[in-house]
Amino acid sequence: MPSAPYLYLNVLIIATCGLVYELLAGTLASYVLGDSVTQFSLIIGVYLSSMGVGAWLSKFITKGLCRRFVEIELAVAVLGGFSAPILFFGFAHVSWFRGLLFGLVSGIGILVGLELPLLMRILKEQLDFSDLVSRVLTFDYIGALVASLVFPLFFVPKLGLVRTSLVFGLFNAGVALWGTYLMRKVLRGSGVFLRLQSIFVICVLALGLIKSKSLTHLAEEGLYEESIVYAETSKYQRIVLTRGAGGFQLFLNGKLQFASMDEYRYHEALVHPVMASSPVKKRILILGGGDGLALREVLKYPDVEEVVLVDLDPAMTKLASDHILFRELSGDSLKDPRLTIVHDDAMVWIEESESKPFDVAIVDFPDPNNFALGKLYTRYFYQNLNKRLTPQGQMVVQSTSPLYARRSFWCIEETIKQSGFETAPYHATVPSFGVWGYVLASKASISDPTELPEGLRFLSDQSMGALFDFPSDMGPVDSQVNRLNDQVLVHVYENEWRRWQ
Amino acid sequence: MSTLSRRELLQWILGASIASTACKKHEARLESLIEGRFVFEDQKLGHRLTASKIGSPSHFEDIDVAIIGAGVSGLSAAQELHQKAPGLNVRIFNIGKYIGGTARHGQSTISSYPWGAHYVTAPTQDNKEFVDLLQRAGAVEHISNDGEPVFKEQHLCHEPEERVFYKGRWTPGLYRTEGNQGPAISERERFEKMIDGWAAHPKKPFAIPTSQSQSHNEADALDLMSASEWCSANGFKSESFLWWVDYACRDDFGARPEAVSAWALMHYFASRRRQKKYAEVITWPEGNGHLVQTLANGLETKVISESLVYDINPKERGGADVSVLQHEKRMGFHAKQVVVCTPQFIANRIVRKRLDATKHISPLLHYSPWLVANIELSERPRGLGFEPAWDNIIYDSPSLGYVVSTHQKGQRSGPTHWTYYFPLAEKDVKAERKRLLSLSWAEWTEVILTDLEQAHPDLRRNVKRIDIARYGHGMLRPTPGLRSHLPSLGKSVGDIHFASADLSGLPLFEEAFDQGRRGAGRVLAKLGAGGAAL
Repeated sequence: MPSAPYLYLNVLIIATCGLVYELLAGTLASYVLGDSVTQFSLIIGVYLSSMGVGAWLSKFITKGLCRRFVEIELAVAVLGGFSAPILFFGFAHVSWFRGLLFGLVSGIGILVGLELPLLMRILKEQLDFSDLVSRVLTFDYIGALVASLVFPLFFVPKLGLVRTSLVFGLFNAGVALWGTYLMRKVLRGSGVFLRLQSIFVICVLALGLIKSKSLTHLAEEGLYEESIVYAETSKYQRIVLTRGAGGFQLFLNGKLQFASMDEYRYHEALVHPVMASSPVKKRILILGGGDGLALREVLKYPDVEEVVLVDLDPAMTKLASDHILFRELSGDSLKDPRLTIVHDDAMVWIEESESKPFDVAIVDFPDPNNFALGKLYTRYFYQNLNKRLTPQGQMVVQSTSPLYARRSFWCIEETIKQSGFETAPYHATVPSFGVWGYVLASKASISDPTELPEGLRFLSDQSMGALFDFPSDMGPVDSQVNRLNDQVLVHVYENEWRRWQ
Repeated sequence: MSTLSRRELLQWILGASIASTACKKHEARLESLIEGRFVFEDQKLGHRLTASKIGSPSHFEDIDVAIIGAGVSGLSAAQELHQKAPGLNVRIFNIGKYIGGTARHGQSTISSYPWGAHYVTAPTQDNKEFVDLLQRAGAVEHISNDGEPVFKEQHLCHEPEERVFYKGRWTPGLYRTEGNQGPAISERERFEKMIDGWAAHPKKPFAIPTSQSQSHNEADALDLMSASEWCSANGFKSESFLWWVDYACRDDFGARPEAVSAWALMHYFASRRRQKKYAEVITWPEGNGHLVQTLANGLETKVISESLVYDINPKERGGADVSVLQHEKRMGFHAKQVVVCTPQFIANRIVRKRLDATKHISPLLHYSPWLVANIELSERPRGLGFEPAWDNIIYDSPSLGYVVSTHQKGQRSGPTHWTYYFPLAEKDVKAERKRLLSLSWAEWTEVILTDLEQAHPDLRRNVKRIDIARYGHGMLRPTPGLRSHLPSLGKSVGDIHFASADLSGLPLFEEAFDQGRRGAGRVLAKLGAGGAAL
């Protein structure tokens, strides 16, 4: 017969593990989906009711109690141990993330619910019933206390969610392995097989723990104010998604691209002035903007027949098309049938493409903080872009901040002017960025933007005029033209932004 | 394969410190999945000149002009004749399959890439003929009101132009300084002031082409000392400055400053200096191969390739008999005029009676051996520090680093070609030639990879192919004391004229172009004087 005191220690461990998985799921769901009250409530509800289901199901297990117990421990070890990695992965790659989340939580709940009833039935031969109930439940509640203390105070800060989950999986698998020794007399023949299974599960979890350095990004966490919920190094850049109380943020190479809370200001200001002032808007070109948010605004015009989006990084457009947060924010714009996505360097594409001319081009590249990006702000680039537009064609260029980087802004404006465009610079306030600048440019003359689409949150016909008015501290300054062989913009930009850091 | 161990090999070519670091990291990796070979082995046919005597052709076909060599000077001569006297019967004999000499280029599905000279300096209107050539090559945007050419920004070298791998990191620019003061800065400022003085001098002692320079005693005296003697005589001694000079000499002349005249060093900087700034660099993915294509335009049917000119025999009645070996077949041509556009060490061998006249100068002519490798990459390797530039130099390496062919296309990711340059720059050119020719392709490949792995540890897995060109006589070294002998070296022998960059004493595209054009000018003058000859 199993030795009772050791089995009580097992109760403590499995109770701790059980609560940790619940906390993990709740924390992870609040990280990635936000709104922690809702997430924790739902997770606790689903988890506890699933445990109830597990307890109820335990009565159908009538034979081979010890063997079943070890098997359930192993199942909890695998499912619970890999719960955080599975959820992080699913969050980035599947569209049914909530289904996955609650499915996984129910699964773990049911298995954990089976644990104690089975254990109690195993022990009942040895002990007086009242003694058994009191001891098992005591250790169960102590386990809950241990979990609620070590989880926030030690494991999450030191190991992060992914490794915490794997470590507790190892505890569960350890209980299973230990069980095969404690109950070896009862298990008899099947004991050896179960032992091998336990060792296998321990190895898989340990491997996950070793490899998990690439899943988590502890060193990086410190760089961002909010928690990282997704990170990927593509061929071209480091893509990081963070999540905080106010929504989520996209960073490319550590530079903020947008915050979900106020991106509507940035993207409305980027897209609508050029679209609304353009006489024809059938064929639209978007350069950069793989997040699909500028596209969302473009698609608000029923005249749009075709959109070509050129973004260097397939990883960016894939993330934006698949990821639940992006899809909610962009209204699935990247799935629109009018859209063609091209993955190419915009510089090369603009020179080599033989597509029909465009009515409107929306140029939304990251700021010119290195020469590889700076080339996308040169006279040569704008001259080539000019050739890709219809004779009345218009474009808009995101042009960094006219307040923080005033000379850079006017350098971009001057370069566009020297590339055969008439320009109308303007600006808008986006809290995450500060005052942001854009240059509206036309091959012909620029007419006043009119007839904005319904449902805008920031722009209105009345407020539009004010955007084109520059206060003195952002007003025009004499600038050189940015050229491929002499990228003055990159040097100016670096000096200007350095003052603000 | 030779019997060198990997460590011995690396030590012999890259030096002891790189070899020992590399050998600590990995052992014996000579076997490799990387493809490649030696390309353009023209010297094999060339060496027939020194082997047994080749008999005479049985018949000599009459032609107007024979041009020997289809490098830059030969093509420039032929193009000049083509434009000024299109009716002439001209033949251009080229030893190899491909034209362009050391400015030739290659092409793959990824991009075109240089096999040698890969840029020219943006000229001023003073070098009108060269501006015209660049205009035909599509590089000129317009001529401004003051007559100066304005070049298209896409053909000027895109920023960033250069970076140096120093102490484990890529750093921007070529000249290394730490902080804003110190000898590295003050020496450089003092040097630029001297250069500005020479550049503004009304006699233009350091013009490109040198044929536009006027003699100037103080400048001419610089040819009598070496660049390194000049540096120490003028108190230039900071590590940064001396490295910079050493790099410049190896880059432009394939030799250490000890073997380069101070005149050549001054010329390098002063000829490029305009209004206290260095002139822009004009380049294409295929390097100067782009200009070779422009020069060859319309000459396609006149070039006879894979043909070795082994004898040029001046005739009493005028003209010369030219004997040619092509695919083991002897051919003879009687040309009214001949322009020999080969380097002088070949001209001396093939033109009868010439060696006697130039015997005393020959020992002064040293040609640097060069290795140029083209590395095909499936993806850009990682590197710490500053972003990739056009020209990427490793501070501690005897190589010159690499140039990225796709830089001028604006492509900063994906497959590309790196063109790797390695001048064998030590003093004894014969020993250096032996080093170049004695190593196998696999050994050179190991050397190249080890060298570049200093800066790009994950290089090997991105390399698909390495082709290697060996130029036994890559370029003339402008050694001290050479210049005063050059005029006698360039003298015509009857109707045989000489036109090659080495006659200018500087291995530059612009000099070859100028030599070729002037060679053609002498032909036209002679034919014009003969009257009925045209």
